[in-house]
Amino acid sequence: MNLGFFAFCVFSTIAIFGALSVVLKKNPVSSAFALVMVFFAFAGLYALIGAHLIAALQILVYTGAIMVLFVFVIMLLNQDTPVNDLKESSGLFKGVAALALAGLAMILIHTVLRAQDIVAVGQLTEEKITAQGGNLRVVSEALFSDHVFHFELTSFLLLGAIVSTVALAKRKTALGGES
Amino acid sequence: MILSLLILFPAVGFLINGLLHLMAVNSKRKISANVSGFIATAAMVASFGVALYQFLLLRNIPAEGRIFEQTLFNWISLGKLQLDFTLRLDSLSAVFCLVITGVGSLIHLYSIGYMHDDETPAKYFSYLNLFCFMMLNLVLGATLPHVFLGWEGVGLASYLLIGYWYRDLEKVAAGQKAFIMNRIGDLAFLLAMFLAFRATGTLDLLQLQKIGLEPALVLPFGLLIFFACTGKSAQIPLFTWLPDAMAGPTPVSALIHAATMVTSGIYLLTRLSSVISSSETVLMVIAMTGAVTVFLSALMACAQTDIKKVLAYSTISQLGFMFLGCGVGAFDAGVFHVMTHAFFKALLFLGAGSVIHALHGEQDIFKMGGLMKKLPITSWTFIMGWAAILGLPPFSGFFSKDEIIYQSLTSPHGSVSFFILAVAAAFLTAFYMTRLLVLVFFGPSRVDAKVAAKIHESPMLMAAPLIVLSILALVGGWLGAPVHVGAETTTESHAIEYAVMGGSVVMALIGAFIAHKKYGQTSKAEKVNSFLLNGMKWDSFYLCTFGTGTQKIATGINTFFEEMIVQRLIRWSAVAVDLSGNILKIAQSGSAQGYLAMMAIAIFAILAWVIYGVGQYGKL
Amino acid sequence: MIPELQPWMLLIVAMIVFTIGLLGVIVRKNLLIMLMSIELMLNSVNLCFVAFSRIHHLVEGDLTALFVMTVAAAESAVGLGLVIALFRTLRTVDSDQIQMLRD
Repeated sequence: MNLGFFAFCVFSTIAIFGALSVVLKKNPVSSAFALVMVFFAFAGLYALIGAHLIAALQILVYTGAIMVLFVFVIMLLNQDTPVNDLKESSGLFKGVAALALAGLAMILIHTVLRAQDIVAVGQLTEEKITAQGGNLRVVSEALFSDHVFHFELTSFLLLGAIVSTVALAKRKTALGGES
Repeated sequence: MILSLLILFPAVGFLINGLLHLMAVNSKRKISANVSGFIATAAMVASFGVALYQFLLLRNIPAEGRIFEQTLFNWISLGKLQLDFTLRLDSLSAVFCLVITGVGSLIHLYSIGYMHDDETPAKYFSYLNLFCFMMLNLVLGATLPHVFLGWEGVGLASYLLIGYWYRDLEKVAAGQKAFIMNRIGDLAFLLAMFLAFRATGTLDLLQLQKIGLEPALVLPFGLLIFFACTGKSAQIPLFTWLPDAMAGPTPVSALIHAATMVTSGIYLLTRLSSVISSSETVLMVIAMTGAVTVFLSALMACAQTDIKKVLAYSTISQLGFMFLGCGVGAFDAGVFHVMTHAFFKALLFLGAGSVIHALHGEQDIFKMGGLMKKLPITSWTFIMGWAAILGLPPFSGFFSKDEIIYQSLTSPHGSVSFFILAVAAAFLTAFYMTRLLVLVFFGPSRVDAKVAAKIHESPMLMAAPLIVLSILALVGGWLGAPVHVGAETTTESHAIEYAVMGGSVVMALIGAFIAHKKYGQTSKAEKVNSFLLNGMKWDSFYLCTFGTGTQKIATGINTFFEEMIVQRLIRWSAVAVDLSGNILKIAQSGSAQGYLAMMAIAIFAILAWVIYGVGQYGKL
Repeated sequence: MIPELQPWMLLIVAMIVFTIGLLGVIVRKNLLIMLMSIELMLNSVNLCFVAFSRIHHLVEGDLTALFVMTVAAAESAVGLGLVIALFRTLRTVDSDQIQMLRD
């Protein structure tokens, strides 16, 4: 019994069904929890192929930070009641959308299947990564040496996001002042 | 080198007078004609002095190297095309320079008297100087574009001076007519220039003469140059502007439209003679045009009633003689006639101006008569001019005109028909000139009583140039042909020459006699042939064909193209835009989902196309 | 026979999840769920990056996934801020009700 493949099957099933529930559940809260499941499953997938850092961050950032934001907003806006918006769209529209997306999925999958034949261009095989001290070390070294500039740039992105979110969410009083 | 001074003096005169005029306009004061006239005349006299000096220097040099050159600055620098602003004086341009500056000085002097009561003499004299500057550029230019600069410049000055009294709309129209007619010729000049540059890679006149053109190109080049010359030199078919150009002040007519500018065609032909004379056809076209022009315009001159128009048609006719001379290969005879014609035609025009001045603007020859006693100087000098244009020995016209008539018969390019036309024209010339003479100066006076009381001889300022010019008209012929260009003409036996000489003189005398008989005692206006009076209806012809014709074509295009096609196109395109907008409006639902769905479909299509449709991406 | 786990297999999962996310964005009208669907799509792209990083024996895919996470965090923060602002003015999170720009 190949444990790795088995785990992959489990995680991918959770991910796909979770994703479907995100899209199809009427209650936004249910959707949010389905999303949490997808995030966990993805973290498992990352861990399976040895991307330990990403797996950890996936749980920290997505499940920890972003999901909290979503749930918080759902509560803030009192959106924890079922909405029936899926039924409102016309059948034709849904049919066309589903057809296009099915085609898209086929194309995408057909394309990525060719990834089997890809000849590796890099040298970092799993053995090498292990020899160099594991995924965390290798990724961190690359991040803080070759790509430190990009890493620093993300701080500006986050700063901008913070500023704009504050500006958006600030409530204006009737007198025009800000509270 | 002081060659540049030659063109510098008129330029300075032009600038000073121009500035004076601007100041006068700004301060609403009148500049005295004496002041601006003195400046302009001094500039011309100085220029004449330089020309004379250079001419004398040139004579001392052996015939082969008779060229002065002065490069002033690099004018045009465009890749392969490198043009210097170079002045070049050889014997041909020296003759023209002397005529321009010499006759020009006299006419400037005359203008001081003639324009004495004018409102804006500074403007007049600045234009006159501008003309001389440009004319000198024309004859001194070492390259075709330089000649073209002068060519256009004199056209401009001519336009400005014809429409000088711009408050009279007819005169403005005459100026515009001259300008436009000249443009037609100028187009041919430009094309010829392009052709020459394309074929030889040079625009320098000297080099062009050396290199020459391929035989196949000589014909188009020669015809284009010749067509350009018909514009500037008022030959058939572009001659109709010259009679109208008489709207300008009379000294202008004398300088520009008789003595100098209109002869620039002869200058250009002579300058390029070595290039174009290798084509028999070109020469024949030139000669034929010249001969026909000589005859027809002489015929037209016989029916004119305006003193200046008679002279204008006469000028066309004399220019025709010059072209005939060039056409039969006797370029030096043509240039010789340019010189003598400049003397006597300027004299005649100035005499006419003097008459008009004395009669306070009267120009109808049937309202003159018997002026001999009242205007003795004018009359005597006019008679000298008359004798010269008739070609009576020993006056200057005799030598040059006779040479051309002789050459038209005996030259290898000549023929009997040219000769007959030329002699007939000589006869007609005698007829209309005598008609003019007796109607104006002899016979009973038909002058209005009011005007008659105030007739006075012109002031000395105007009389002096007349006298000088009449002397030149008398002795100019003895100078002999000033230049020798082109192939040497064969010398036939003197017997033919004398016969031709005698024959033409006799023809002239017969013509003069008939005219005297017919008009000697005229006391009332003659009923003239309106067909000839209106210049054989060439104007109406042009109006019908080009004027109205163009309008009709334009109207046709307007109705057909504009209304049928363009406007329908516009209307239908508006409808199409409207329709497609209405259809596409459906897609613009405002629903984000709709847009996203469209986006998804588009992505699907694009991906499918990229991955399966395009070869090089298929093997991803 | 049960095969070994290969990195390319993850790509298939990623593609399916991506398509489902796109479907969610298209058919759902609740802005919150649309945002969640976008998160789904971002996640699947991340998975692709990491999988390709393994396939190619490179480390840059991991790094890009890291940056995408940053972008996702910023995006959801701003997106939710927008949702709040919209809800405050329009009292709705239904995207069909938000059509003011159409006219």
